[in-house]
Amino acid sequence: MFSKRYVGALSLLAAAVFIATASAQEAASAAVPAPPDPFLNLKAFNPEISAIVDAFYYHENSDEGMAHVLGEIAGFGHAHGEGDHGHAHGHGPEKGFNLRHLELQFSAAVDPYFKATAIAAIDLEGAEMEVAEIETTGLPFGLKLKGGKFYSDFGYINAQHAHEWDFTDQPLIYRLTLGSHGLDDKGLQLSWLAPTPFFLMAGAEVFQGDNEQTFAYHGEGELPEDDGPRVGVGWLKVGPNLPGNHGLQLGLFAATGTHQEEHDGDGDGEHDHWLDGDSSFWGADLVYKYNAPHAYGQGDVTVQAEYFSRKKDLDLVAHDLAPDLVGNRRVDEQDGYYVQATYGFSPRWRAGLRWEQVGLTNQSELPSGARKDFGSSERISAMIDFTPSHFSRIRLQVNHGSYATEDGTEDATEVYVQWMVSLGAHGAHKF
Amino acid sequence: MNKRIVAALVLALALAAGAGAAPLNIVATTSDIADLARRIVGEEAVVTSICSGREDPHYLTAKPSYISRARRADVWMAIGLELESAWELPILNGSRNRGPSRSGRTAIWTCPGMSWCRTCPTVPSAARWATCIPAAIRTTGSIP
Repeated sequence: MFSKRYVGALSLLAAAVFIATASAQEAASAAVPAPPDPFLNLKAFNPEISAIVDAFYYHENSDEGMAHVLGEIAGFGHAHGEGDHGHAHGHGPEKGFNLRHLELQFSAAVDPYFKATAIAAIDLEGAEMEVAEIETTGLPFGLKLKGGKFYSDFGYINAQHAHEWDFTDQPLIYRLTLGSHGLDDKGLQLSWLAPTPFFLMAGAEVFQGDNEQTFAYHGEGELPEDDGPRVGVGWLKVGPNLPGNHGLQLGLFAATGTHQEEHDGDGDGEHDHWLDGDSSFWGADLVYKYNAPHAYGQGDVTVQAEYFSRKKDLDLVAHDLAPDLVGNRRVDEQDGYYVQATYGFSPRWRAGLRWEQVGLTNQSELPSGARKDFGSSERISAMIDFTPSHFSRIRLQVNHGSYATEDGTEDATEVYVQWMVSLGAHGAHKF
Repeated sequence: MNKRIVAALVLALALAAGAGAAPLNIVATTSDIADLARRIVGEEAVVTSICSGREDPHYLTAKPSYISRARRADVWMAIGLELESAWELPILNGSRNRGPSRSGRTAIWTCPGMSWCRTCPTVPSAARWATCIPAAIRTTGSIP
């Protein structure tokens, strides 16, 4: 039991510490050492370390493999030269056992001014630096600056890592326009949280422009590479105050950047024409969550939807086979959306449905003056997952898609059985 | 007796937060510590809690509106011991609130959970926490 004397002493001590802190800050004096970061009291280690093991079994019934089908979807394909600039490791899963990657995550408050996170994705073919970001913690007026290599915060799913998704695979529109990693690039972000009674956040980002599909550079000798940074992104998010356990976030986003391509028109394995211009996209996102008054996620509902529209406006700068077309424009316009919902039907168990469409607008204006209109592709997915704890999840997912390729419509069914665990630090989840 | 300790701490924090003309804005993670704070500070502050009494504070989902509340908080009170770890950091980091070490504006105060822990089962499952923490407050005499 504390006596009154202890109480008095304790309160004096607490007051003294905090007043000293405040005055030290005001005087910007180095005489008083910086007090410990208040966020650190939640951390057992410095840096916090975690590893995510994400393994799955996969089966599908397409004729030539899903990676091929997705590469052939009319209007979306041929963003990069075939072969030499193929995905380093982003190709689709193989039938049978797969290991997505081992994600090693390190994060810590660096000092009272910065916080940093580094994530290495290791797979059987090598390692990749997925994220290496530094962010400020001490800027005034609700501002935050982030730099390094990081996921763009536009939309909703782009900034989420694969193991945070409610479905095993990426939405089609993201896979087809930004590639298997989404927009994850070297750059700088400034974001601002408005001092409003509801949630309002705006962000501006500048990226180098090394995306594997949009804002790509695949030019080699024929095309001088544009100087970086080559991409600018802007976004706005609003979260009205809903009563009770309802949460809602709405977002708008747009991006523009330079884009260069090379193509092999006659299929002889040699690039024969080169395009140079701009690529831009815009879209909107919506997330609604209901946090039910039951334990372990029972009764929880999540609804998530995003619309994404892109436009590539390119000039033909060189063509070995048809030199007379040089100088003409090629314009591609494509869009797509997904809508998904999950429901906690029992403690620790969720079921989810996702509906997607790409190519509602799907047209290309070719350098020859011809105009091509392509059809749309649809996919429906159902999943059921079991989350024994914060650290593990087992999921069954079935996709059925009808894909409009240049050779006609192809139907395919895919099955995923996913088993993933998180080792180490207890990860927190953003909205 | 323990209420006095809490009172002293809250008042010290209030002083440190540079209590100005506007009433102090105290945000607590759970409704029980919000209630304690409310009884102590009375009219001097506006006290709200993130979790209502009907939610499991370990399995709460971070909402955007919590971030804007944390941005405007002068004092943030939490249970600690990783009870709120699934959602507290995204809220605090997202809030851009600079914390006491930075501006002297917001104080973060974590309950002396380690001593409360003695009244709790050794395996702190979320459901047990949810029931044992209010119980620990009710039986304040058993808290050292």
